[in-house]
Amino acid sequence: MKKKLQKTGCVILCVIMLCAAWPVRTAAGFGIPGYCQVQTDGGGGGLVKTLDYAYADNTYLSLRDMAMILRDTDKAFSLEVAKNAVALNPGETYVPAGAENTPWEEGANPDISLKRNECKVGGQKVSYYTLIMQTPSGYYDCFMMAADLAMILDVDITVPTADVLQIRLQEPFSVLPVDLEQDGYFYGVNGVLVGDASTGEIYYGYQSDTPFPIASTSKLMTCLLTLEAVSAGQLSLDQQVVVSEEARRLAVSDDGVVPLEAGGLITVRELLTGALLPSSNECALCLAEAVAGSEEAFVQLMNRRASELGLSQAVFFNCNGLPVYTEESVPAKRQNRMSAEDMFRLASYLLKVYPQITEITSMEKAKLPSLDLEVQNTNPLLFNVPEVTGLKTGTTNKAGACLVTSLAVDDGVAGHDLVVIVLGAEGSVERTRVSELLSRYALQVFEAGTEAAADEDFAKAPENLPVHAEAAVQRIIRTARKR
Amino acid sequence: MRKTAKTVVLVLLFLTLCALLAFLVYLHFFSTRDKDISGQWTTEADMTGEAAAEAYIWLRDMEAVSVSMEEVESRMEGLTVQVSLELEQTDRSEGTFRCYVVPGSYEDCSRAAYEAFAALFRELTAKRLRMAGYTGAVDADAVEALVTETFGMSTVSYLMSCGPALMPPLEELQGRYDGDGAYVTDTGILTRQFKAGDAVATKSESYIRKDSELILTKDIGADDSEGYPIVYVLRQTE
Repeated sequence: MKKKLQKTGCVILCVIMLCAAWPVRTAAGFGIPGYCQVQTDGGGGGLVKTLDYAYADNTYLSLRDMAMILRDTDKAFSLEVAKNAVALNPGETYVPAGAENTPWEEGANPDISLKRNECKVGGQKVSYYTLIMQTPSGYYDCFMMAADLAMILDVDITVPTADVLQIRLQEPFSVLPVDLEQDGYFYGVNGVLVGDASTGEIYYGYQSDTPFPIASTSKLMTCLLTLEAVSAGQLSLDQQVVVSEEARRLAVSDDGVVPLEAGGLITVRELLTGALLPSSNECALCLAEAVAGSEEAFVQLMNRRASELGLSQAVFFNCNGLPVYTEESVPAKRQNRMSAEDMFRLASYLLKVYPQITEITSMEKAKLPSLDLEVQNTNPLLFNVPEVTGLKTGTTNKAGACLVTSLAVDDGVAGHDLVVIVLGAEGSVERTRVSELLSRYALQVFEAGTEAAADEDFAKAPENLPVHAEAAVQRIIRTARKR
Repeated sequence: MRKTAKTVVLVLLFLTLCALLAFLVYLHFFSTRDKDISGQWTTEADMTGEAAAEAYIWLRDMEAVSVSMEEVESRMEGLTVQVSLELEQTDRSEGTFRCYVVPGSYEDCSRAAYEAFAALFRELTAKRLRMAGYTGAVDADAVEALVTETFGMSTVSYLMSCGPALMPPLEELQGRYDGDGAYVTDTGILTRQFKAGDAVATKSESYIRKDSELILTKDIGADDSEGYPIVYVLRQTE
């Protein structure tokens, strides 16, 4: 009887353990295996295995199959795929693993999760969401979205008919947001805006004048007010600030990022780095207290400054973008709000007047010596587009995933800062992809403008000197910064 | 004896009265001392307002730093262009005139305006450099060196070629002031007839001659008295 009970107990325990493990596996994600036909304009092509991640048509392509198809073309790339890492080397010949461009093998298990696997292109770290799975033959394959691969290889990929991909090898990657909008692509975001911060020219906008929650991108205003306090002599970057009890409480909460101790000392420069790179809410609070004495007073400053800058839709409730509850019997949950146009104005102003901000936001990681801590930049685009110099990520449940991206470009005469605002993407996967697509669109428009200017305007203005005071001072500042 | 003396006094009185009458007649009909406005007159046309307004509008484009119109005006105070008015009387109340902007003074004024403008621009640029975290020197010489490195020319040259036109073009000023022709004066009104090919443009202005100053107080044909009074100073008598 005792033995029977022991056996039954063991079986029950095993079942409990299996049940406990099962939800983790289901939560890990699911890929629906499928195929698509890929054709190149060189006459090549073949069958490519696909995984529709979680939803139909959310399609990721087998990189091994794609590498095999492009093997003898100008867009050839070699591939090394390990359990959690993929390295793609454009220009190198792909060495086949054995089952490329063939149907799914028997027993293939596409039950894998979409994640930011370690990814390198040409030896450089990049940030893309991929699916890596082990095939029954034992080798690993990586699945990537066609748009991401097109951006990496700088090639034009279209979908002429269902389940057919057309690769135009001689055409560089290009994107037209107007077409994307017509296809409903931006249903997945709240608002976007692409423009040149140096000239104020807007390249594209979608719901750009409607205010939405902005989450941690609010910290750009916090940093602006801090830099203004520094330039007014009220603070210095190397001044040490005492960490308050409120900041400590925030640091140890679920929203905490940097382990600040009450009474501890930390410099304004470190706080700026902490607020901008890992998006530390407690660092933003410390800055607010250092500038205005209290967060309440700082929020008043934020709203006043927003008004002065003409940010007509901006409303701030706190210094970091976290949700704030009112002290009512039925508390209202509020979040800082801004339209993409307002955010463009704010980012443009920051980049023009305080361009040194990109010295912080373009760092992959930075040290906070006072805390003996290294912090990482949360901006994924920093790795994917060489021109990217920042600026700020932001995520809350209500705001969705937001990203304000700045890109430094040069038309051969003067440097420009392009800005891409994405507010309210569904998640970080979408945020990264939309931001990268629009960043590449911004570069496309800027290059086209430069070429047109080279053909037309330069003849009219041979000196290529700025005729406006702000443009002139920006050029002088760039000269000074180069020194 | 007494009668003779009386007659002499009356004759003397009569002669004195005649002399006085003759003198008054001379003063009234023949003396041109007060009415004679012939000579070379010059005035300083003030360019401060126009130059300061242009400079202010241009500098206002700069983000984060500002300067008031009053400050720009005070920095550009005393910008003047010399205008010469040569009058040559040919008859009792008429004569010929020639009016022109003294070219050298236009260049000098323009140069002074751009130097004041450049100084302001350098000061505002220095503030922006500090805000942008630049830790090098930002005194006038250092900023001038940065401007030269950036644009390949001095601040004054850059602003003259790419900045706003602080001064109206010389041609415009010449159009405003230059001309020659005939003039007549009548009860405090100077009427000049400008020759313009076959046509003649007439301009009538109230004037007051006060020692070595000729003050044009208003344009009779204009609705307002903007630009008046114009004070000409006698440089050389004809």
